[in-house]
Amino acid sequence: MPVIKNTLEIDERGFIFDPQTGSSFAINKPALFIMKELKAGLPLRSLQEALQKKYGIDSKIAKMDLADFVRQLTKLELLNPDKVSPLD
Amino acid sequence: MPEKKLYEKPTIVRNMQGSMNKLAGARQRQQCGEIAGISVNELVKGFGSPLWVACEEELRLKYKNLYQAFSLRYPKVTIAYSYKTNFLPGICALFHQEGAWAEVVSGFEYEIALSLGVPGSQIIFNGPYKTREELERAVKLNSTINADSFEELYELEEIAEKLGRKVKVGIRINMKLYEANWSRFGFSLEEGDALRAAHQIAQSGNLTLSGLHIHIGTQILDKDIYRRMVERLLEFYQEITSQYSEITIEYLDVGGGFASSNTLHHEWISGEYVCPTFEEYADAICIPLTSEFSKAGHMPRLFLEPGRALVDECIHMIATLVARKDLPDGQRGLVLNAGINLLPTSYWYRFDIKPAATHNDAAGGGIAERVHLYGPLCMNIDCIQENALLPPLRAGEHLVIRNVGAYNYSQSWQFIRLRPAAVIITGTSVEYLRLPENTDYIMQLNRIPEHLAHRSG
Ligand SMILES: Cc1ncc(COP(=O)(O)O)c(C=O)c1O
Repeated sequence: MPVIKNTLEIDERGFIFDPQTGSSFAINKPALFIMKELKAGLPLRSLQEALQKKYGIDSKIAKMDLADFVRQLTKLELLNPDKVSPLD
Repeated sequence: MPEKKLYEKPTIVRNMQGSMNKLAGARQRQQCGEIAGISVNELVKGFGSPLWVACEEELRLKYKNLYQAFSLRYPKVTIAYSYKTNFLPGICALFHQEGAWAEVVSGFEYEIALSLGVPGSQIIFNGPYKTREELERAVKLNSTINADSFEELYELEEIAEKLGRKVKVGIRINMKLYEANWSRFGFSLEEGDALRAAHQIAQSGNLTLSGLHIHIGTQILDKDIYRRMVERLLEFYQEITSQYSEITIEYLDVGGGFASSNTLHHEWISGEYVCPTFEEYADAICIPLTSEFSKAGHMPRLFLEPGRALVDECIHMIATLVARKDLPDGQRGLVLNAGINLLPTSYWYRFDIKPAATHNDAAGGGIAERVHLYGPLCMNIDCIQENALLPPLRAGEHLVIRNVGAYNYSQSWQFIRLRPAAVIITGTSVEYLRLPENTDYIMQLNRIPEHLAHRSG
């Protein structure tokens, strides 16, 4: 089961819609990449490597940015409530 | 090899209905990776962050443009740079090289001017508080003195008596021109005190009224206020010169106040669009002057005392993001290493703040975050800007807070942290205008009484 809510609509142009709450969100390109990977079921622990590979960034930045992004998703309640810990 | 995509911090922002920000997304996409051709990263590597960065070429150009605008419209123009705006000696010296006199408002500023080799006769001494010693020195060195109060006139009379010679003096005048109230400076025109001051000088055996001075405020966006001011100043000029035939007014000093392109908090339109040009100010001031004096034989010198308009746009501050904060109400905050003690004019201005690094624009899939920019001080009011729209930034990224040359360095205060260096870019070289403060410098004036010097226990 994906880390993010499976009901989220993810539009290629960086638009996210949460049908459960009616909220919409804007995301940038790297965030879109992450959301798509998450929706496809990639576990968080593999995501850092995928991000590093895709953008050629170093691991410290990828780790810091990813942790911050997941924190944002948590606070915006976009994570799958069935997943007990988003950081597995 | 596949082309690497431009990476920026992955970010998600909740869409709001309507736009809360009056400037909408207009600025969010720009970046400022260089200052006068030198990369921000290089500047930080060489001189640290935060950092004040002045641009020599721009400073010189500002001065030349201002001088040209006025000297093309009136034949006798002198610019006296207002030291209080930014008294870094390197900045003052640069304007003196361009031909500026010094406008000072204290003995301290007067001494900076002397130390830069400015002759006393090219110093205009203004301000509401001048000590006896300061006045006496200014008289001896033939500075232009604009008296602010009756008390000062008495003081000057005594000095003239002591020195046994006539002393020339100008009077600062105030008048009601617009909402802002500058009536505590100088002699009120409406109250008749300006006329009384002229009378007192005329009555005194050893003072001569030689000039009329006024400074009507700062960041004056309405050029017509200057026109009205000059017209009323000329009426007063007529009044006193016809009453006291022995008076020769050698100069009219209209002060400073010309605006920079910074945006005041209450303005909905960016300052760049509302700031009058030097030519517009010059028309407003010089047209009434020339129509008055072109028919007369005598033409007083026009003094200008600009500060803000010369330096604000030519000095920027580099700051670095140190932390991100999610606030409990869903808003986001960024903590910078530069606070309001370095940027006190953030109280008035919504600064133009740009990231140094390139970020994606909307077409490239980038988004803007609405963030509050805080300083590093441990106090709630330490906020440089609320609701700034910036691309997603991470700790360690540099920002350029643009156009902070006026009244920031000179009003900055040492608090919690040491104040940073200031540098000037000249062509491709970067040199110090001021070294960063260190603990010894700050502590050197302190003394610990003997009985407090020993720790108990
Ligand atoms: C007497 C006088 N002259 C000149 C100035 C410079 O003003 P500005 O920076 O607005 O040009 C000031 C500023 O307060 C002033 O008090």
